[in-house]
Parts: sequence; structure tokens; C-alpha cells
Amino acid sequence: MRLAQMQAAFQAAVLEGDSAILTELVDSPHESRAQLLSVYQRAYRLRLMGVLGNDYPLLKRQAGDDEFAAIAAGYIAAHVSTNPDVSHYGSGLPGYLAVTAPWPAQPVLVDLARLERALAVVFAAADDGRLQLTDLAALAPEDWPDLSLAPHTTACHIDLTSNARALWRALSRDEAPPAPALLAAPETVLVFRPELTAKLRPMAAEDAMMWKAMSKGLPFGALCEMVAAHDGEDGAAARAAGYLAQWVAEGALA
Amino acid sequence: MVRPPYLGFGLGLRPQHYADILSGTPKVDWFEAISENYFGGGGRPLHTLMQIRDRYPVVLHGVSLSIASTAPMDLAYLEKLKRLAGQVEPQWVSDHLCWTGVHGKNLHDLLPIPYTREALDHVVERVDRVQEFLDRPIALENVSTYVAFAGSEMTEWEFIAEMSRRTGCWLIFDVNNVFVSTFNHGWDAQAFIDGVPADRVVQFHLAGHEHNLTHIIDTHGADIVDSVWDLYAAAVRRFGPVSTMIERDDNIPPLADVVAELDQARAIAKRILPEFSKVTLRAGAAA
Repeated sequence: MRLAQMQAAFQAAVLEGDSAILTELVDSPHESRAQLLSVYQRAYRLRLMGVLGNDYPLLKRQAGDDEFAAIAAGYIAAHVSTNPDVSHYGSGLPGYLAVTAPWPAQPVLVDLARLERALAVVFAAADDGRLQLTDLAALAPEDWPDLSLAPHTTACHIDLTSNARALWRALSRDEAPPAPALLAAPETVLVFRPELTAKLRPMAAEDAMMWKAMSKGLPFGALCEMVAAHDGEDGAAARAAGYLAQWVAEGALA
Repeated sequence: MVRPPYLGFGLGLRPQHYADILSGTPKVDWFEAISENYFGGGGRPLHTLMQIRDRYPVVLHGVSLSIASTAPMDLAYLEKLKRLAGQVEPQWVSDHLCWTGVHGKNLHDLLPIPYTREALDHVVERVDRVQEFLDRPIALENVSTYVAFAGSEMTEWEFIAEMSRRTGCWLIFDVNNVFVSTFNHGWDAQAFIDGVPADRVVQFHLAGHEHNLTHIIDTHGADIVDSVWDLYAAAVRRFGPVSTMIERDDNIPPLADVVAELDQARAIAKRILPEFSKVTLRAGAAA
């Protein structure tokens, strides 16, 4: 067997339990080749289980060890890593929980996963290229309507339907979390890291609406029109400028 | 090619120890950082690494270069590694003689290769390309293996020696991995030591493992056992003064405990190389 075939067969053994590679292996003086191959098969799942546990410590605490093991086992069975940086492996877990029974019935777990993922994404993102107020001050008045903005790599938003933010706060302080509950209305949370420590804050409806539209690439003029339509034309431009100034102060724009 | 400097006795840099490293003066001569942990490009991880790098020599050690994979070279990965090396200016950059996946998948494991002429040619060609891209020689480490291939045409140490001879790459001699692999396959550990070219070895790794009677698993999750210390002594006798460090990735104890374990390495090197220790062994010689 050529090297490429051998690696494909070995990978199939680890991921799918395929046994074709066994003909290429030898027994050791103390153990059968099948048992030795199983070291790699077990290690693969254990390693990824550990990665998910490290990446989602509060989800694990809230779900409990057994339930978290079930979550991780299901995710590992459904997701093979494609990124050499293992910190990306768990990026699909919130989406997986949101659509895979029985987890959608526990929205607080889905939301906790969203929160922990967002915090992980901003945690080690590159710091350079933040938009500064001086960048905006240099703009000519006629350039403002066409101004396109974008979230910085250290900022993102998530939508939560449950009281996961309160749970996260309690769990991260080693306090007893409140009982899981649905919110009366979904909330948008901005996760941002102005310096070394990540922060999160709930966004008011208008703030969230403008942030999401900005994230999609709508220019500032269109954002102002949206704000005017949302809560009246009076002072709309000033309100929009206010949100913008806050995002800049939070280091949340590129 | 200029041989990298001797650094003394170091530790694998782990986030659990960041605060103690920065708030004190642990008796550690240098640190080995896992390259991929800093690929995000910012935030506290890189900030901390740069602080430590200002105080200690640092080397970058990757786990996902996948040098022996038959998949196309991952240029995005190499670009990140090159950028990080430009920022950190490590004493050297290293990874493992292994592969981590094919067909766009990554198993995040250090997978074994058959020691064949085909695999050797393949690895040599890839090492050449990586060294050219990074514009520096790399160091490659022998991994712990649990299976051996019927088609192997040479020993692991013959493969390593030839790879190093043909590419000019440096070598990390992982003492624990040699112990694990030679036990698992019934090989002669001293033959392994004798077969690796002494002038290419720039670093020793030491770590703990899990003994399962019929096979040993490399866990980095326990203290170093006496038989690995004995093998370390044999390696010091053969290779002389080589930068030595301890890796701990599971059941990570307080920094002071790992530093104490590092003192054992110092003591062994000092016993075997008394003349050398007087002039070169850094913190250990002064203690």
C-alpha cells in the first residue's frame, strides 16, 4: 500500500472504525495490532471530548457531566475537524445544539454555548485595526452617508432567548445559577474585548437593530434611516451617532 | 548552519502557570510555547507570550504542521506560523515527525508513519519546502507510536537520521516518546539513542506516561518515572549538553511542582556532565 492509501485507511480506521489498515500493521511483542490501533480510536474521541470541555466549561457545569458527555459524543460523531487549530473545533457546537434533539428543548444550554463561543472567538482575536474616533473626525460631512463599518474581530453579537446571561454570570463567579427560564422577549448581547478582558452587555432594541444592519454592510446613511423609522425622525441622526460613538469607545469596530 | 544556542532547563508554557511565571522568578531557564495557541493573533494569550518572551528565551513548538501528511501543504497554516515566528523571534521552531490528517480532515493527533523510502522522500521534500517558506531550519520530534507498519524498510532512528542528513533539520529527542515507542514495539532504546545523529539534537523533551502493561500511552499527565529518568541519563551521556524541558498537558500541577521536577533533570545532567555544568548549566549550576 502506498503512503497516501495507508493514511486514508488509517484515518478511516480512526473516524469510522474501518479495519482495512490492520493488514498493514504488525502485532507487538505484548499486544495485538487491533488493540493497539484502538488506542488511536479511543484517543481521538477522548481528546475532542477534552477540547469541548475546555471550550465550554460553564455549559458543562450547567448540563452536568453525563449530559455534557452526551452532547460532546453526538457532536464528535457528527463533526470532523477541518482546521489545524483545534480551538476552532467546537465552533459549530451552538448551531448543533440548536437543531439537534433533544437539546432545542433546553434553550438555556443552546444560549450558554452561544455565549461561551462568542467569548472564545473574541478572546484571542487580533487586536490591530480598531476604528478610532479620530478616524471618524477626519471624515468630510458628505462622506458620512456612504460610510461603511464592520465589527472588529474582537466583537460580535449573539441573540439569546433564555436567561443564559444571568446563568453565565453566576456560574462564572462560582455562584448558584438561577433556574433556567425563557425571556419575555429575546435579547441581543454584544460581546466585545476592548483590551485584554472580554465583556458583554445587552443591547437596547434600536442599538441591536443598527448593529446588525451595520454588520451586514449597510452604510451609515441607511442606518440613520432605519433608526428614524424605528423610533421617530426627531434626533435620529444623533441617536445613530451616539450608538456609533459607543461602539468605537468599546473598540468594537474595525 | 549555525547550531541553535544551548538554553538550559525549561518548561512547556501552559496558561495555568502564566500568573505565577509573571509574578515571580521561577527557576526556569526558558519556555516552549505551543504555536497554535497563539494563532488568534492577539488578546491575552499573545500579550502574555510576548511578556514572557521579553524575560526568557522562547521556542515555538507546533502540533499541526503535519509534515508527513500526503495532503497538500497547508499554506494558510504556514503563513500563521511565519507571522507568529516574526513576532516572537523564537530560538527555534519545531513540530513532530508525524501526520495529523488527510482529505481536508484533522484528527488532532500525532499519527504514525511507515519507515519506508517512499515516506522518507515525501517527508524530506516537505521539510525542504517548509524550511524554505519559513526561511529557517525547523526541528522535528520523534512521536510516541502505538502501532508499527509491516512495510517499514528501516528503523525509526535510521529514518530520523536520514531525514536530518538530507534536509539539515534539527531534532528534538523526546526521551519519554523513545521510552514509550521502544516498549510498545519491543525495540532497543539504547539502539535508538545510538542511531540518532548527536550533532543534530538541539532539544530534549521529558514527560510522564500511562503504563497499561501491554502498552504505554504518552499522556503528559503524570510525573516522569524512574525508567524515563534513566533513559534521559543515557541520552545526556550520548548527546551531551542539550536544552532540556518538561511537558505537562494533563493533571497540570502547580508551577512549583514542575519546577521541582525540572531540578531532577538538572541534577542528572550535572552528575553526568560535571565539567560542563560548572560553566554552562545556567540556573541549575548556580543553585
